[in-house]
Amino acid sequence: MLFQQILNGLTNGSLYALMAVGVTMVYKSLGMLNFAHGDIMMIGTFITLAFVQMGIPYYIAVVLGILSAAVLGFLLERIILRKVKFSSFVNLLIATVGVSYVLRNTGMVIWGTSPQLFPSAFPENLIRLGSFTITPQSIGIIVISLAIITGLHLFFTRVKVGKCMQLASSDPEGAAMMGVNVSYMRFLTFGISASLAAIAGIMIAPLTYARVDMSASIGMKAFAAAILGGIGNLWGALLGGVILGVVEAVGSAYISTAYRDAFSFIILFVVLFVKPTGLLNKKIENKL
Amino acid sequence: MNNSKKAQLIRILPAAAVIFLIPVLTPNMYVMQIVNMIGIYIILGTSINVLTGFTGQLSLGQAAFFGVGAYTTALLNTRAGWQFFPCLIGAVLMTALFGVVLAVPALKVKGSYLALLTMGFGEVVRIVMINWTPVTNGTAGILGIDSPVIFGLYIDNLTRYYFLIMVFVILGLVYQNVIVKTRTGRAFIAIREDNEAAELTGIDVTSYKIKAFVLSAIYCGVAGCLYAMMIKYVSPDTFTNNISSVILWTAIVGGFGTVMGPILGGVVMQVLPEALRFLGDWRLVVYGGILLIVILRFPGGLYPYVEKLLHLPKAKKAGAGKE
Repeated sequence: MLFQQILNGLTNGSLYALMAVGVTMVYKSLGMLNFAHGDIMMIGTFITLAFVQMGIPYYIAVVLGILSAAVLGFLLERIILRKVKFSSFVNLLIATVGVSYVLRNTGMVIWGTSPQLFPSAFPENLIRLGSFTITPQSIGIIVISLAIITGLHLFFTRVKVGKCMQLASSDPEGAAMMGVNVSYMRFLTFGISASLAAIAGIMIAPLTYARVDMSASIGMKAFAAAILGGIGNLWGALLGGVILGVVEAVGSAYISTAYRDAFSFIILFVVLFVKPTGLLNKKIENKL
Repeated sequence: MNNSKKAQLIRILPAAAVIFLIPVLTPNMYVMQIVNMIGIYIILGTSINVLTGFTGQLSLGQAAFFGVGAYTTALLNTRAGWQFFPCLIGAVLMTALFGVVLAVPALKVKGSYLALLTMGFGEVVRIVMINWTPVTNGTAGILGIDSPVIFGLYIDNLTRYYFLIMVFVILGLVYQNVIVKTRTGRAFIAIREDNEAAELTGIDVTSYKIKAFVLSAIYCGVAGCLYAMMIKYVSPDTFTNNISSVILWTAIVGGFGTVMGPILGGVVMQVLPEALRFLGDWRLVVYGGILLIVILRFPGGLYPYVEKLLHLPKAKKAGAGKE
């Protein structure tokens, strides 16, 4: 029973981790949370669903959905965030909240508020391993998420563009002096972050149905996971996501399903109170 | 001295005239309801103005305080049969308590972390509202809240209610104006401008931050009490994250850290969605779009521009400055 719940928690947790990685990337380059992250996920998911319903083959629809989320990320950076004075933190934050508001209400107008079935890429049959069961979907989600996060880690540490992106977000002036196009790197960061969100959304939707309001709850859990692990840290995001997923699954099994969404925030409160830098970061967060 | 008093009188008289003219000029109860909501949002805007505009502590969870105030009022009224003033005191005490509860973890963080912390707080409060069915009646909400009776006078229609709200709006704004000019207000602004420097000059940052949270929560509690008694119904759907964003925008659109900002913000934020009704479903999308443009074009809010247009004396801009 407990093992089963932990397994379920790992499945959800790796999805939160995937979202949290995108949050972390943008945080590093912008110095703040992108509150529209969850809504980009929602829009990407629904665009994919729309393509599937139009009769386009599943994998092509998925690619198109991810691309359109990336375009949304690019647009967010170019049209909105670039226009805000970067010195004004409150304005920057409220601009992303505004984008979130617009995207969420657009989603409600186009797709309504009722949950919709979302096709899964994996077969439905259960795999029995002794006393507990696992779906191919869970295995697929965990493997894909881990592969993407590992791939990103390699990208940021081995590939030149990735290294430039890291440098551009940790030390923009130094990077500019080294000849790195900082604004282009930020542009790229937003695109990658948004496509990660769309991938997570496409994998979550078959489990929970595609709903417009999934942006709020999953988006907030992604922020919580990113902060929990220590923001700006890829492995921290993974750790944070997995912890949230497991706590949520175990908590809802043993305490109360109704308060499922509250557990992650209570964990967040506790961690912020005890160790405000998150689990894996040592330096105190001083950006404002 | 005499001159400044005269200037004050010149400003107060038209304001009083406007307050008394509004119910006369209002064509129907529908518009009256919107006017009352403007009043409630001015109080809510003031609440976040105190917290974020003056003290620099960002909050995306104001809807939680608003909701706690409304639910406390609803419960005390329907279960215990309490009247308006006891309910108001109950709501104020309850929200003040929640203000302390949020302030304690909030002291340790700032910036995005604080934004997320407050947002999570709002979400937890809403989840409790939905799920603690024996007390809150779940998603169905609480019906049948009585109209307030004040000194034997039944506040049973929206026009009478308007005057009740206006009393609290004026009290709230005057108190905000007073506090900004006192030691507390100067401490708030010092904390906003530079936390460390404020601490070095001997300001007790911790207690002033808690004070700001509690004060902000109390403003929301009053607004929540007025809201519950006016609408006579509370449900968790009213106190969502969307409302927290709207409350934050009310202060931002008006002009953060200006005393008059929340008035302008309250009017804009409540009139705009009604004016956009002809757009049907797309109304809220356009509403959000317009607000985004306002934030991008007028980073300091609208009030400084209005002030420039009207050539008002600069006296009211106590504490306005960079964020």
